[in-house]
Amino acid sequence: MGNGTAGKPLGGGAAGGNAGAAVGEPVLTVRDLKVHFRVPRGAYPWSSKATLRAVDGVSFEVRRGETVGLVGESGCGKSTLARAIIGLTPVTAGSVRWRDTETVSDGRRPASAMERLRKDVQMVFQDPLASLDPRMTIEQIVTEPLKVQRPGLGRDETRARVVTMLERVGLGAHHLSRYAHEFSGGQCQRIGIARALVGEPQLVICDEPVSALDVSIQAQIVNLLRDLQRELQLSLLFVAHDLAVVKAISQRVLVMYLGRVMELGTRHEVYGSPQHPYTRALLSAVPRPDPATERTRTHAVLTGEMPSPLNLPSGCAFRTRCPEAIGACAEEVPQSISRGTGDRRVACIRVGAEPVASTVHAVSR
Amino acid sequence: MALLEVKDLGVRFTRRDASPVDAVQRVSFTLEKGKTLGIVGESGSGKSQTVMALLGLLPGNGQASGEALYAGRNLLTLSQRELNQIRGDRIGMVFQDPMTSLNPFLTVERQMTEALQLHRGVSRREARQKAIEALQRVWIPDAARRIDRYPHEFSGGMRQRVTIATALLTEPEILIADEPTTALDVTVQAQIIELLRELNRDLGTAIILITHDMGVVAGLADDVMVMYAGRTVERAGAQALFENPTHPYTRGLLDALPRIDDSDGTHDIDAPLRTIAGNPPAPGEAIEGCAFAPRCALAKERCHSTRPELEAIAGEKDGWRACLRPVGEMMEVVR
Repeated sequence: MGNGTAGKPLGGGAAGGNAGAAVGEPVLTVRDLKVHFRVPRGAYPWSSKATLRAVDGVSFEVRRGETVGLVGESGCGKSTLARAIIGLTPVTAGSVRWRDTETVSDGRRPASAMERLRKDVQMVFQDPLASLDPRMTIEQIVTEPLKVQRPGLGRDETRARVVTMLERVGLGAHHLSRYAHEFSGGQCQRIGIARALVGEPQLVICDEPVSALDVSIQAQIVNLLRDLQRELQLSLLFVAHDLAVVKAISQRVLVMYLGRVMELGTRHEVYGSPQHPYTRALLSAVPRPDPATERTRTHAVLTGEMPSPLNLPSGCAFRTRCPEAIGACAEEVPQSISRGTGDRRVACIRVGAEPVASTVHAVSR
Repeated sequence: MALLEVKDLGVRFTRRDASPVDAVQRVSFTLEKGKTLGIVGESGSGKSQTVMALLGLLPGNGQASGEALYAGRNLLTLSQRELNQIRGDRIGMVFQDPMTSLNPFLTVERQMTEALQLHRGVSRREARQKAIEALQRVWIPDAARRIDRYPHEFSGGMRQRVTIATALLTEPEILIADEPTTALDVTVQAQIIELLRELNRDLGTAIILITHDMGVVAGLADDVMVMYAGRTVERAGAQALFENPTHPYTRGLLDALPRIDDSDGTHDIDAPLRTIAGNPPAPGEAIEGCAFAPRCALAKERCHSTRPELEAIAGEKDGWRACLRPVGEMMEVVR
């Protein structure tokens, strides 16, 4: 990959735009965010409605220049959370703070805050081909965000920035007049990254950016994102279901299950000494590409499947599949409790707690 | 004796406005009774078309060549009628997306009993009983009641278990599983892998497992065949292939994998991932030499002009590779 091609517009601009927050300071703060949908209970639109709790009280922060990995299985709410932060999904309750602006407060989004957000926060999507307009050339695709966010730029300056950005992601000026369908999946994802980064955002939310790509291409894109993130001191929120990919790119990791945060910690903490039974099960389920380990290690296979988010179990959402569940797990939703150093948090009453007294009442449904 | 012997299999697709595409070329392998063969490769490597050709399921513009011997007969020359006696009976199939391989208009019971009534001529009542037993074997709770439901009433993992149970009803000798866990979540994937392992062990069903996931292969396969651009680049026992890959592509693929465990110290978590530069060739692209040469760090001039054939690796019992560079030279290059 052509390193060092990042010219003046990229490096200089980003440093200027990021002034005001030192590396390591929180830039995005999410507090008790809830996204609930009203969906018909039956097969018809007029069936009685139920509440689907896609995101149910999530709190975390992203610091400047760090990558936070967001993992979980399908239906855990990770994509909804990402979309709610950037404003693509209405929120129900909670707050989101971007730098010094409340972009969501008390479940409402002030319109002025959205403008700020759009300029500073960008997104890279899963399906690289579907997220590019088939009737636009690559130049038009990558220029569009600049036109909206930096209307003052001259034509030459705009073009120079677009070319620099394309070169930085491994494409060239000769690709400018081509269309998306002429590129492979990996190249399309590079274009998607160029489009997200050309306006010099400070936070990039990547929703499964490599899961549609083959292994050899996936590694190229992960490396590209890592390099760009370091170079531009970007903050990344990296949403993915692949635990190994998340490990390769993240400094901190957030594990979600059924709309709630199960565990949050640094990569070393979460992967090295997972505390929540769900994190442990998830890590154990990943097949290792090594026959010797794979055939000898004990597989803690979880029974059953994720319950419907329309009908959450009482108490801990994971208790129906948890090998360590006890009666008290059904009583109330476990609080996210700090464990160890830093801001490591685990939402499980069985972790580090005293043995639970068995004076509990009958388990409710 | 080999259960299935494939020799020089080729798949060619004709195109209306362009030259034909050779999706699979000169693929040979044998499947022994009760063994699991993993076929791995990236999208477009021809791994799925290889088994589609064996099953006679190529689209209309596809033509298979070569030989695939099963029970003394060449599967590639059989009529649809003759194939129908083998498919779904002696050779079972499981595909990637369980929702599209189940008929949404029929109850699970109807789709399962159909195979037994057709191939075994048993009564509906007897077939139903067998189907319930099959569902219980794949850990579907409350099978006797659930069997009367429709596919949409099952979750993704359950549906895949239903298709596996259906494929196993006739106690096939070979189960062909094309990306059976790709559409599933990792905890559910672990359940399906466990299930396939159990069936292979308890029923002695031989499995051809097609996947892009090296982890899934590592857990299930006895032998592994790696494909690239329609050809076999390496074939070996699973242990040997993962520990000592002898083809630059296999090695590149294994090195490019992000790892969950880095206990062996070879994978520095803070270092960037190792990559394979460039992109695989487009389908139909004319390739003169080795298809991997443009992306290969070890390629010499002749790699671009001479096509390597699959040859036995000296000193290896079941190792085959298609590479012009000797194994020894490859090992010298630092990983």
